[in-house]
Amino acid sequence: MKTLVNWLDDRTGVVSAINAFLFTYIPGGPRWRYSWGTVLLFAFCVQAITGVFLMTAYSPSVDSAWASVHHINFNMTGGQWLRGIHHYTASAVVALLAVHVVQVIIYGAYRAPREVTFWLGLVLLQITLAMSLTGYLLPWDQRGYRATQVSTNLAGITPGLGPYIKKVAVGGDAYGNATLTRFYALHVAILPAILVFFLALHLTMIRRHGVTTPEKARSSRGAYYWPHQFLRDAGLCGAVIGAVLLTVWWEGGAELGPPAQPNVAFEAARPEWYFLFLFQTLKYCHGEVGELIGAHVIPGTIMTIFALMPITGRWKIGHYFNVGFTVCLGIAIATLTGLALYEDANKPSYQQALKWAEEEAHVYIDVAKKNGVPPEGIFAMVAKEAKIQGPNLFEANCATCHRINGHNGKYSTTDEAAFAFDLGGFASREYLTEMLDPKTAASPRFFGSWTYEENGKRVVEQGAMLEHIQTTIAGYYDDARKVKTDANGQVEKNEKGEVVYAETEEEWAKRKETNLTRRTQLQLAINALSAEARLPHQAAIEAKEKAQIELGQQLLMDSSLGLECGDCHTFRGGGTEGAGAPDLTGYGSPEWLREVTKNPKSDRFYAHRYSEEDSKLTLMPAFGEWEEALTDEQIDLLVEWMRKKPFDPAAPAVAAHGGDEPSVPEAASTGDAPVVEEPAPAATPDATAAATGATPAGAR
Amino acid sequence: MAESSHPGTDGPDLERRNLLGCGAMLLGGVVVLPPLAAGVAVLTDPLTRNPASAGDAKGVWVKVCKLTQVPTDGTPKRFKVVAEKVDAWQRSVGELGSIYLRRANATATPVALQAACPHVGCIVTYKSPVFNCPCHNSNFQLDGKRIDPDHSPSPRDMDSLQVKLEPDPDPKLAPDVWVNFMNFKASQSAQEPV
Repeated sequence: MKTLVNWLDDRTGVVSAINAFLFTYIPGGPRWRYSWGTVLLFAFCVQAITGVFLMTAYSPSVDSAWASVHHINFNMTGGQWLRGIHHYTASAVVALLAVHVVQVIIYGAYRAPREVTFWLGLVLLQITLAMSLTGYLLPWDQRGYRATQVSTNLAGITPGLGPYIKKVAVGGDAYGNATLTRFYALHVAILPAILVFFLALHLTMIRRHGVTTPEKARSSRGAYYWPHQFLRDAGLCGAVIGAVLLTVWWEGGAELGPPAQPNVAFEAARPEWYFLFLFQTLKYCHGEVGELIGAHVIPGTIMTIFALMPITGRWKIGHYFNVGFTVCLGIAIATLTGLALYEDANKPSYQQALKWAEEEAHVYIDVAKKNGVPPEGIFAMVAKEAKIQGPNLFEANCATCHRINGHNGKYSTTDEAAFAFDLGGFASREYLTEMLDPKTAASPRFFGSWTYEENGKRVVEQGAMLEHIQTTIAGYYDDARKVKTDANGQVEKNEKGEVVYAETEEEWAKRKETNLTRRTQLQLAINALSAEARLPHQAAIEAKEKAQIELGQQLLMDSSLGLECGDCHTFRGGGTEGAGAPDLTGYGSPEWLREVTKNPKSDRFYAHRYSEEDSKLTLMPAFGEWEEALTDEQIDLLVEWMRKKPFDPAAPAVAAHGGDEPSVPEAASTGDAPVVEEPAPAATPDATAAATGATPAGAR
Repeated sequence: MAESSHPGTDGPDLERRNLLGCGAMLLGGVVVLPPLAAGVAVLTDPLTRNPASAGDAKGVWVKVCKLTQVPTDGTPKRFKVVAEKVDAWQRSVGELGSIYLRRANATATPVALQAACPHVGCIVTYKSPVFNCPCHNSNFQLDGKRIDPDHSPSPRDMDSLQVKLEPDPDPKLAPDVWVNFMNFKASQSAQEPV
């Protein structure tokens, strides 16, 4: 063994070189502070190792970049770890660089004779940031795409060569395959080669000059690099890789956003955390000149001050200035980063966009996991995916008038009023209960959205249905004993000062009983109407309550039984035709929704509204008639998504506009609906309802 | 630089230093392990993966053609085998490979031969009256047997595949020819599915 080592050393000198390195003398002994550079070197090695392995599985093309990263991340053994380590070590490199630079400045290690070492370090800093920028694009997700757009546009405003640099970097005018192949080449070959070159020079300088020993330690005992300093270095490296591994485990790997969609606005676009201060700075820089100042003059000035430090640091006061400048810069960066995070945390539109981006990414990821990516690409893969196409179509076609749970299908809310019903949970029991509740019917989620402009104000249309709810149905809830009022509306009182009632005790008791029956009937009718929609999440309870639903259907059809639905509506062959109210047969079912979307003007739906010449309302277009509108396939996707969407009872829109919280009868929450143990087929609806369903009204 | 003549270094306790040295080496090794391990895991991912649906050990039954497309005079004809396949992240319907179908007369069930040469996998061509591999000149008879086994580059005869006929739902049409398609390891005398 020893002979072999000697033979090798004789021919190559490798062993001596390693020995020379390991037994470098450190005056004053080992210190933790000397480890930062080594740790940084280690982090670069981690990036090189993981990077090369990632290259074996990555494909730099618009059609396959996202798909191959998805494949690495979710299908390949260890892929989540490999990509995770690469992603979070990139962050660690930037953090370690900052620490390294700061401590070099504080300890004056940038001064003679180490000026060149310092300058080489500054070059390495720039290359590292360029590595990070180019790497961010490679997954070809929305975030990377937008960030690249920003960074290349900023490069483009550089006076003189800017536009040419931009065009060469992007590979033309539009971002696409050429951008990816160029950024890929930069990231895996060109920049690493430059980095290795400057790193080699930097390390040679360090070997030449050794560490900067504090003056008071110069007299104390020294030591060799091996093993004490090496142990410190390795320990710190272990801590860094440990932290990275912990983050990968905690976060479940690196994030993969929704694939890049050049024509879709992406408000959740943000750079990596270490560029947030620049991002924030650009917010304060206005106009062409401002942008130039923010993107070039300020960073350029800062870099110049750094580059001059070895010269200014010759004087004591210069050194103090340099330390002070670094500290101030650190505070400024921290403040700007904090501001950027704070502003985002308090910006609903950002949070909403982020929520949608996360949801969208999950759908893409899940579909790719389940079906693989077809040769036509990622977007073909989700062309028939209601969870993606539903929100897209709703936002583009419906959200001008409608909302869904208060938002536009992608969680984005606006202060502008809706002109039509909120469709979140449409035709579900909860939805219909609130819609027909006198307290909530006029809220902007329901009839309160039907407004027109009059004398510069928006006025809610007092339509027949709303009136019915606010008078007849409201009467079902009025259990207070009626009092006599005089011509002025004052409550009449007798000589003793007692209130004079308009109804006797018996009349009052009877009315209360009727009210109870009507409220129960109403709930039964609502449940029956909701069953028309055949909503998947109500299938179980509807199967259980078959008898009550049949009862509710009778109530809906036959106005002689108490409720007055059939006076205007048609339902399953009953009711009144031509009274101008929409057909309730199949209300909210996929077929009903598709047809109403295609042609709301039909006699089956809202024909009377379109025939009223003076209708003040903005009416819905017939999407089936109008060219370039929605295809049948698109309407089906929209309907599928609307019906799948779980109804969120805590929809913010209600709380924001409604004022008082809608109180939903307990029976409406699907779990507690009244159950008929033994349906009594012979009993009249009135009697059965009164006998079985006292709870819904009683809860009020 | 390796001389220990620097002032201030005391004579090190050798045993302690050896122990520390071992610890240092261990720690140094451990810190580079995670990125390497993750990388090797990804690189060797194909080894940990079950064979893809196509061409695995069990083979996959693929409808290749109509029976009437196979000549009845014993002339072999090559057909592409098209089925769903997975190529890393991409799932598509594409060519898995190709086969020769041949039947001696109109009543016989066709016989299927893998078109890939058992030698190193080139596509064997039909040069009447034999099969010839254009790469290294292996020659096979029409039943797939090597013509001169002792001097053939191919270590075994051409690989035959199972064939079945399924009637078309429309009785007026000819039945479909189905083949249990699979790939075999090249360059070995024993026939073994990939």
